[in-house]
Amino acid sequence: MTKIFLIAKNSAREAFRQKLVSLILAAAVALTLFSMWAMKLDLGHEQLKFTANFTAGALGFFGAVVSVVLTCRLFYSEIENRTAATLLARPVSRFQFVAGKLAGVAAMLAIFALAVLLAGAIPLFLTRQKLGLLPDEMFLGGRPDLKWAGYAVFGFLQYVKLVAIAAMACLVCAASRSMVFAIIASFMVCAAAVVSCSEFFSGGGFLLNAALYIVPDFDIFENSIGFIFGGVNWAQFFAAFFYGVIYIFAFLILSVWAFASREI
Amino acid sequence: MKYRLKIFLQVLCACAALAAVGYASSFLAKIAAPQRAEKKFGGRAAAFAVFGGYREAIASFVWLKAYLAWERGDYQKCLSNIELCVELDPENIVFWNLGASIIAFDTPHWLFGGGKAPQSVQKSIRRRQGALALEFLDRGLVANPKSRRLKLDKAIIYEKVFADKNAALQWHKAACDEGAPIYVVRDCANMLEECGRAREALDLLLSRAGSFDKSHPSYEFYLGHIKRLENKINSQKNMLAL
Amino acid sequence: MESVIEISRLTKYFRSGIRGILVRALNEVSFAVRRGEIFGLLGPNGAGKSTAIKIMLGLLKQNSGECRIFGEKIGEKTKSKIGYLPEAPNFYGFLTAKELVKFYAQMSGMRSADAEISAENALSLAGLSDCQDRPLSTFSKGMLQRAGLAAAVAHDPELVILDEPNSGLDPIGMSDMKDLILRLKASGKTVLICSHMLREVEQICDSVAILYKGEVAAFGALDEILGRNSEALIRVKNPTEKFFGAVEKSAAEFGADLKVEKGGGSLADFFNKIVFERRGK
Repeated sequence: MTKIFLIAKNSAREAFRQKLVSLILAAAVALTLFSMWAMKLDLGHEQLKFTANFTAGALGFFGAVVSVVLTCRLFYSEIENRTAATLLARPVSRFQFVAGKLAGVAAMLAIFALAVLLAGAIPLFLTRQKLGLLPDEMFLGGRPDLKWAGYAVFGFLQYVKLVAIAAMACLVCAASRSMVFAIIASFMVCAAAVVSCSEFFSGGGFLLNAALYIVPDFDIFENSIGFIFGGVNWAQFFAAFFYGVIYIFAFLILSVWAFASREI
Repeated sequence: MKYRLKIFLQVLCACAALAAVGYASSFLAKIAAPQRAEKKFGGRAAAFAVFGGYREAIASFVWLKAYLAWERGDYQKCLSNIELCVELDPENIVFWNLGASIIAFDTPHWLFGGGKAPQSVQKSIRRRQGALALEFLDRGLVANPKSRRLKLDKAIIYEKVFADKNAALQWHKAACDEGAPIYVVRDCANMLEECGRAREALDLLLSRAGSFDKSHPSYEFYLGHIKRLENKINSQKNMLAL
Repeated sequence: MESVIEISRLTKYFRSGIRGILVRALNEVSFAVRRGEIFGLLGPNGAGKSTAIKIMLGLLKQNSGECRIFGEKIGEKTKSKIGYLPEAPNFYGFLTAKELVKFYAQMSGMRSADAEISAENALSLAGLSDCQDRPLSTFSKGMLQRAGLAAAVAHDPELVILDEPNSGLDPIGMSDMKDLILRLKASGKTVLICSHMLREVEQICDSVAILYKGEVAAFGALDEILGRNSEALIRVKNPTEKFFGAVEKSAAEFGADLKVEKGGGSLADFFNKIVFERRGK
């Protein structure tokens, strides 16, 4: 575990220095804060939900980009600079190397998710204050209630989803020979997972259904936005959490298997 | 050949492993998102699905495009953008409400050919567009089954386009569930009265009177409505007695 | 004497391109490195030296043949006894020299406190004590080479593998590197050097193996290969005919089998001879 931690620490330090990641984080935070002005575009959306969706969009869209790009860059920089060879010449197993890399990316994703959530809390808080001044009759469906515990749980589940995407990108990196191909392939798989292909093609034959199970269904994590207003549904939370964790481990094990036979 | 076969088998094994994991954990996905089945992204909206929470904001921009097409009277573009809006953000009642209104009441005028079409053709076009709007609202109700607004919209279309007061009444009643606001109950009472069921209208108003806040600005009109119906029923009774 | 590295009939093929065309990197290579010696692995570019080293380090798997380090197959236990300096090393630029060496020492199984002390000692050995707290991104190529060497020896390995250790070093640096390697040998370590700088290899190596196109072209103790035990080479500047006469007369008195060749014979000469012979075949 010490070796995994040390590799993760190095990877996180390297990730922190990636200018592209900083740029994406800045864009995500800026767009989240922009939701306060974007509400002028309100076309019947419930204001709090509209604001919360900007945070969800930042975490989902920009988070996926960071997950994929960071994982591929960190992985390939080690191979292209041959630091992977120097490291693996030590008593470091392929599992420790891959797990350490993924843990480093996960650490950076935690910082990313936290920054976006904190930025998203500001417009949510201000919008709630503003809505608090309005009379009850203005809310046909009842005055919306903001639950910060639900917001935190929602953020945590989005983080789990991002780590699962990173693990998926890790598998692609372990199996492919070039960084550009790895990034493109990872984005394609990520898009398929987010769009939830199984919903389009359900009712097909056995082979089609089996093929659809190959791509994970990350769309289920979008359901957690309901926790922000309706409180945490613990059954749904644990189901989504374990679903994400199972896929993280599955992708990690497959990454190690693919990387084990790779010639450095 | 052996080399490529080896690569193919490795990829197949990986896919099989992932499929097994996906199948084994599918029950968790069902627990995590049970109501997801209704929200199916189709066609163009699928491309925007990757934007996650930004879909609502994107839907707003698409709606603006729909409005621009509406200003020009561009039927295809307007409808196409309305459809994309409701696919991106199916929970926004405003899109379904305004969309149905545009389809039922605005588009027939674009299709009348500047008003030159004969009355029979215009009526046929109105009914066809009305049917399209009803089908549109049906989809809206699948995504938002509790929406009173959409049920009322269906009632209005049945009344105004098809002159079918009975069908309109059914939808007024559907909208007039427990907790319905004053104006919904009054509309339902009005429709009952128009269908010649004044007694039912009065009973409805009386049964719901206690559930409203007496300080509501419309309460006075509500009471006035009850009084008017009582007077109407009493005068009808008197006329029958005579 | 015990062998630290035993390579026996090692063969390695690579698959190239989408059609997977076989490229032979090593073909039935066999040699051994004895404990406590400095061994030179030589060969022109593409001979298979790096491939052989990677197989020794467990970075590649051979197609056939055996590779034993300390009598065992390569594994975690054996790797902890090996120190490796890659060719033209790249390291994490954001780490300081001390952090880098400590990191690699910990990767080799040392505890944090021990790794810290070892890192300082190793950097002192490599002549980098003054700049141990500077980030590696500010280091020159030669300094990186020294940092790499410090990282390779920090955990006190029994076997040190150096791939082009003189790469990027100035003449003073090369001399320092030579001294370092001799010091490693003096402390009982076995050193395997992979290098193109035959002059430096000749000065310090006990044994060499010359690879050419994946095969061992020559292998053995340096003196034997160059015929030093059975022959002596005396270099004379500006010899005269009178001198040659005196030498021949002296050799005859001692009963020595004398053959005068104008010009010298060195490892470089031998190397070139071998390579050209092979090319001719």
